[in-house]
Amino acid sequence: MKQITLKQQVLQGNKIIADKNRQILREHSVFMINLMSSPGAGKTTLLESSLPYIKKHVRIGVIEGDVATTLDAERIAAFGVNVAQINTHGACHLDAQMISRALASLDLNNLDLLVIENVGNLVCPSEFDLGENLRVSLLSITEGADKVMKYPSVFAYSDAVILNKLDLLPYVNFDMDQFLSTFQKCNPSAPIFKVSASNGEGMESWIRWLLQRKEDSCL
Amino acid sequence: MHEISLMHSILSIIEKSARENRMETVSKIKLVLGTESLVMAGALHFAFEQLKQKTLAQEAVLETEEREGRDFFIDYFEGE
Repeated sequence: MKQITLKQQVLQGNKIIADKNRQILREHSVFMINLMSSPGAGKTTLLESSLPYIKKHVRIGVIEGDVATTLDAERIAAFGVNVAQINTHGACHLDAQMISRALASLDLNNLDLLVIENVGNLVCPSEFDLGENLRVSLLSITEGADKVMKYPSVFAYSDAVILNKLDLLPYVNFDMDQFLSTFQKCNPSAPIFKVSASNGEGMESWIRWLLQRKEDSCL
Repeated sequence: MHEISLMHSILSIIEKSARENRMETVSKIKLVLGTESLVMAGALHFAFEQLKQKTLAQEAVLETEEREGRDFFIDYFEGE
């Protein structure tokens, strides 16, 4: 009998492709962010609200990940930005291979910033490196303040968290102190942006931060 | 999360390595699951029982060990 020691990470194949994606983006001076949240937290609305401002400063493209339909891509394309839609046909997350194909379909020479809107899911997407430079998680106050504790991975490995639907705060029972203290405990260095993507409140500071991070990266 | 597709990858990696090492059967597979890796041991065992059929590992047993952290890797496998 033989024993073969592998010590091989199961997701190593994904990591290799993610690193290749990062390399391709670096060659084209494109900065990529991976936006993650549960379904209905407001990822597409956040983009719709951010795009007019971002477009004034950089050339932006969007990769839309959904299980089915091109509804989100159509909403984003209405802003006159480049969009690639990925339909995962049942898969609960995007992986680096899907992003690699989407990158091939985009004109990277005419982009400075690329936003991936991941499949709405608080569990699986956080495990997959896509080749992004920044990870941003989004939580809406209607989901409840306990989500950081219940789904720690997505929040712990984010570079920033956006708290959305702030306009609904008077109508829902959201424990802001609990949210702030649990988030700071699981991810002390990431900034928190409180926004309402639907009325524009707080949007400027998140976008300024994003553009600054892009500039700091020298991409 | 998606334990079936993860087990599919694991079995592919092991079959490839077993062939490279001129092995005909795999009798044991040992995995390490980080407590923060979000992988469920129970679901992996279920996926293993379904997917191992008609592979070099069809008679194999699966052992999983939980450890602190994010790691999720194939520690070793045995066979002849």
